[in-house]
Amino acid sequence: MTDALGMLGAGLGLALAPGNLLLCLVGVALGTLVGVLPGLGPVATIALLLPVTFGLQPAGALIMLAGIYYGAQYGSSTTAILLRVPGEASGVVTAQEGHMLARQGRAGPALGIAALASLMGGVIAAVVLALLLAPLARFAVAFGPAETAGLMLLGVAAAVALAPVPLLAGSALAAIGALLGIVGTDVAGGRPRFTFGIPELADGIGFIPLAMGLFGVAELIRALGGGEAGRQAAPVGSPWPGRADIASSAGPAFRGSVIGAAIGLLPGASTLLAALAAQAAERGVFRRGGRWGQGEMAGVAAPEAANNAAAQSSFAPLLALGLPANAVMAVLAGAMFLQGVAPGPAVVAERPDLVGAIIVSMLIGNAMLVALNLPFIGLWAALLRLPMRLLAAVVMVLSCAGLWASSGSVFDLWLLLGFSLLGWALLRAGLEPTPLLIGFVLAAPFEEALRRALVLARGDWWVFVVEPASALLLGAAAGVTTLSAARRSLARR
Amino acid sequence: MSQLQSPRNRKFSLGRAAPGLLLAALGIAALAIAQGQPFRLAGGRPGPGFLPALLAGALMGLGVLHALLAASIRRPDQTPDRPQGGSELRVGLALSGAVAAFALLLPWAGFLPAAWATGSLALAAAPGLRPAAVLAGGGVLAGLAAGLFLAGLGLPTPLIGPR
Repeated sequence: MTDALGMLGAGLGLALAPGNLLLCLVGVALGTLVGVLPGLGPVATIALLLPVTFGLQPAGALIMLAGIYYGAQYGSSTTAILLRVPGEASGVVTAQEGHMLARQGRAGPALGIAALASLMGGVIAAVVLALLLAPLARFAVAFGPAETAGLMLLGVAAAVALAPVPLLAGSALAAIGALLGIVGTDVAGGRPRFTFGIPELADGIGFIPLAMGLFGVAELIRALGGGEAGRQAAPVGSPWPGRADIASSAGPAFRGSVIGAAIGLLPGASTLLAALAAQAAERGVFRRGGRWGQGEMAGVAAPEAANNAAAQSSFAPLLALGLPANAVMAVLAGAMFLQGVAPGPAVVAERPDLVGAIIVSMLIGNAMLVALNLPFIGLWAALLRLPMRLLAAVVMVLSCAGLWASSGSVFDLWLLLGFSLLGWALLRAGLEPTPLLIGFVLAAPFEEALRRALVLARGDWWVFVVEPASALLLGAAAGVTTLSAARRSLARR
Repeated sequence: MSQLQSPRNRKFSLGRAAPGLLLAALGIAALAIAQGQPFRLAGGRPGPGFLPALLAGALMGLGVLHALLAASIRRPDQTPDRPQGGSELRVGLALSGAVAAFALLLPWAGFLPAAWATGSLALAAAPGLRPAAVLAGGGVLAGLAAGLFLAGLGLPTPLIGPR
């Protein structure tokens, strides 16, 4: 508790600095925008905005990028309820009951409950994050290099196991990502690896063109190619829910917040998983007699609270362990590296002001989101009429110019093209590129931990099995993979 | 005998095995490239060739496994759900072309022509706009981007002309 208060106290001043408040507002507004507009999710947006963060201080950059992530969870509920088209993956759960309510003329109260439940989820997750970060980081500091290598393997295994791709394909994508991640000059011997004599590759493949191409441009191709525009939204009406709606939603929102905050802590977990678990708990245990399938308000409150809580609590494994839990966190990890801040226990110990500022900004950002969403819900709904073609053109011009402004390298523009084509090819094959991104991000730190472990053990590979924590983590990685293979095999039968 | 278990569906299919074989070939290529790097350094430390070789081996193993499983699978060919092919092909080519145009034009024609070509190609990605509107829209976007990046942020790139 003392750690949490100290961290929040250290971060308060930084979070309340006018510039950072403005960046928080920009982040949550952008997040709401991309959540509202079906087609461009938070991963793509954060990836496309990476060049912009170069000119910012680390705190401001991370506050803005975090705001985009949880802001998108808010915005997603708007299209999910009004159109039955989720702007972000987790909105698919809200859409089931939310759109039924909208068809009954209750879109306004459903949107209001979604915003208030999201606020509760955000606040509870921020508290969980503040309480857990310091103990988690202390736990991670005790890790030696063998345990760190084991933890990273577990992270990759979990990402592969939970990604919506076949296990073999996910593993192959993670291996390809890791191969791309080690391109450049080897840190131990100073020798170039996989650079093919290209001087621009001596520093490795740029994270920005890779993330922008795989997620940003590929996502635009999917959205524009799928014809996502011109749908007719249900009328909104007043977004203020009645007393009965609030009373019936408080319990589901609280339970959804707790479930979402817990699921967000797990490596490989997603906001969609959190929303699904929260809805399943309400439907199967807490509110079995509800009007499920006909417009049940608990079916809006629980998943909305859960997805927002999970979005925020997923910062815990990244900040305390250096382990990105999902694609958004992998992009954020890249953003942190670009800012010269390595995610992991050291950042919690050495930069409590930065970590505290991120958590405080989540509380502020959630309040901003309610203020942005409830009174102006009609405005956000009107954005649904914006042609996707125009949005795509604006994003493409800004992305290319932004990448050029940040790197000054034409080679990076060609890399952007290459990764856009790769992202498109993966899309055509029905493969989600998250394992590739996580493999890319974790390859270099994994190799470093592996080398350090073997130096300390004088080349003895048994060190990974003899050290109990390392053996446990490797066992967990093997267990996650085996369980996933068994589950998929059963599902096929 | 049900269709799912018919011997016809169990025979080797090169088409189904192709992605796995491609993956294995990628692994072989990576292993060949990694051959120039020392596998082990003094003190038992893994050398710069160790992790690439490990990953290349993993790719080869996964590729062969995928090829064997896919080729011997006891079910009819399944085509993954895809967005509308024609429309997506047009969008994919237009947006990829937009990036390529920026990379090609920027070094010798300058920022404005590069951004104009990118904006126009992106606007042309979806059908429905007349060519004149596409070009005009691209021009407006390029002007706004030039205002933001060159005039606003002071990006040291010529508006028109080579670097």
